[in-house]
Amino acid sequence: MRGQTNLFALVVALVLLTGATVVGVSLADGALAGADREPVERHAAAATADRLIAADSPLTVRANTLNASRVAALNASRLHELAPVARTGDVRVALDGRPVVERGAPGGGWTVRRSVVVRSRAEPRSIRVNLSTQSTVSVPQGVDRATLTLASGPNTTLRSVRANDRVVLHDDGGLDTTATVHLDRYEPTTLRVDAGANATGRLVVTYRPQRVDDRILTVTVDA
Amino acid sequence: MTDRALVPVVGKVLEAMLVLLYVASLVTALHGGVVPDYRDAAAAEVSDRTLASTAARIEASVPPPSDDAAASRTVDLPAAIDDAVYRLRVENRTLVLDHPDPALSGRLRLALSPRVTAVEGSWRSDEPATVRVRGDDGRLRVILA
Repeated sequence: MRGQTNLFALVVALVLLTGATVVGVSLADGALAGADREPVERHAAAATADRLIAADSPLTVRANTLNASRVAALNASRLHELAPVARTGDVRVALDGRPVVERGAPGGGWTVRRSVVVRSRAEPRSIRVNLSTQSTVSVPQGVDRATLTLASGPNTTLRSVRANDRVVLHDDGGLDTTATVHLDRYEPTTLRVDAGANATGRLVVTYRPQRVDDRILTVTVDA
Repeated sequence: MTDRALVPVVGKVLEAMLVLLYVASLVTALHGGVVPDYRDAAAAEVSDRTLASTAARIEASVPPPSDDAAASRTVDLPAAIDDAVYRLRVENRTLVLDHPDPALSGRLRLALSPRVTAVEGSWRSDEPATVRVRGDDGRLRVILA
């Protein structure tokens, strides 16, 4: 009987050892599954996002600054041209959660987020000024060009227009014209018409103010 | 009365046989199924990661447009995947990993700026790897050396 007790203890020990092995293998299984990070998907998403916001991308004005109208013109085939990595699988490009381009319907996959600035031009704004009461017009910062229409009244010759004391239009024979002038967009501009004390006439300044919005660009790739 | 002396010997031999049998079956089960599976899975993962991180490294080495300077960067590659030396080469703007085991080989399209006109060269995993960018009049060449 003593021999049989020994054998019984041995069998119990072996069963315990088997249990430990099974637990160890299943833990290793979980660790391996947890280490799966889909590197190819992640690369595709990151590379697509980086190509879209690069300084030499057709969508950007400079690095990280997107032009709103060019973003609106983006479609799936243009996206593929720009970032051929995202050829395989479903892709979605979104700005602040609103989809810009979608190919397929990515269910999960890998998402990359990039903080970007979107520049867009608002509706044109016109300022009309009667030169007998006022000879200056203020244009806000961020406008790089404006269209001026000058109409001089009787007995008045308008010779020049200055933007922040820089002469942008000049004609000794008198300005009676429509012209586009370039302005410094990094500071507000004051347009001044050089007119005498009793000058009459009209000045119309038309410009498109710029809007700049911070957005989050998300690129999701589900291969 | 010789039987009584034989009982412990037979018992011990039986125990030893049982343990040997158990260890043999455990080793067979682990090395026959579980371990090779894990090695393959880990090797496939390392291969994917090497491909993706190397592609990202190559893409990041391209300087921004204002900069025409040449760039040179070292790239860290795992010396071996599944105990075998592999090669990385570029073929038609696609990074190709050539491994003796076709299941561990792979290819990945590079996302490069249109200013990059050519990507060429190859690396061996057991040699130091460098990516060089040469600028020439706004056009760039990327060379794996």
